[in-house]
Amino acid sequence: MTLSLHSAFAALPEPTAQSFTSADQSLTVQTDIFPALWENLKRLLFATIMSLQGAITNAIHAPRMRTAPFSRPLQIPELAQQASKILAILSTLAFVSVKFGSSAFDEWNFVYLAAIDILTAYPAKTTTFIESCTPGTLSLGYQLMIAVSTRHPCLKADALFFLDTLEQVIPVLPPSFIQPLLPVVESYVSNLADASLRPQLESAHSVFLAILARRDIVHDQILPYVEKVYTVGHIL
Amino acid sequence: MLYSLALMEHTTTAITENLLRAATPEKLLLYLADAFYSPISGVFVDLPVILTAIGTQTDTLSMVQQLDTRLIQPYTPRLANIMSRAFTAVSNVQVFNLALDK
Repeated sequence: MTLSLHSAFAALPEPTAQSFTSADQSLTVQTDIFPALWENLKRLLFATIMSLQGAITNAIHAPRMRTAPFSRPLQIPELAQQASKILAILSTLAFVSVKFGSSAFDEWNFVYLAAIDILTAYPAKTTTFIESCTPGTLSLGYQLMIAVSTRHPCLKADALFFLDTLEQVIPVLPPSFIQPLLPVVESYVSNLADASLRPQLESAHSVFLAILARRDIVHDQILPYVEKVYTVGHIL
Repeated sequence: MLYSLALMEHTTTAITENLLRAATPEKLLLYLADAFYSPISGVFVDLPVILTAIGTQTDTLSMVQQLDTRLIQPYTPRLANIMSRAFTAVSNVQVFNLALDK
């Protein structure tokens, strides 16, 4: 359901989608489609997050709860699979939650961070999730490059969710998996033309810092990175 | 049924607790997940349709406003709360995954 909603929003023409995401105070719920639609999407998001709180609570307490005779203890891969599903739901609703700001709201944060915590206990599943984070059959890097160039709010929200999630899971990803993602991250660090991409810019910086903090990859990139940061500060 | 559940939750949460104990939480969870997210009859089924129709000749504003007039609409947080508790109580892994898939 959330997937079809995401697809429908992604299919909107860019100016229409922009009108939805930009908060025009002169529009009212009674007379304009976007505020009225926003109210309903918020309702869907809140209901979904509330339900997922129960799901994540179950997952956290899973090993202790599986005591019924017909049940068996959950294995880590299964927990990781469930966390992955929860994160996938959150990613499809990113175009709604992004309007609440970078960390949305407390309940969203709880579900998001708890799911990441469970998922990262199993690095192979984490890698699979990151790979599948962007919809479509195109390669991840190419998809995100499109997101940078098109400015469609849906792709921007997807990219922000991806970058935020990548930052969280960087410590458990293998270096060979991170290396091909570097151009994507750098493309957001370098992109200064559009002020509406500032959240992605900040998130990409955080990803880069998380990569540098690992100390086992791109340690030779510290000076070029610092140079780039000063350039960003100068232009902004 | 959905409305009755919402009213039960509204009147006293103890009724829902008893329901979760008496009926299996698995059945309640699947029922609510379907009621919310079914692509045929779910509470939110019209939202993708409305999004798709924006920019066409369709009167999307009245479509959204019709959503607000639905009897169940004000009770979605209460129903989501029941679903949350059902999710917490479920011990069948397959049902748990099926509900997430929905």
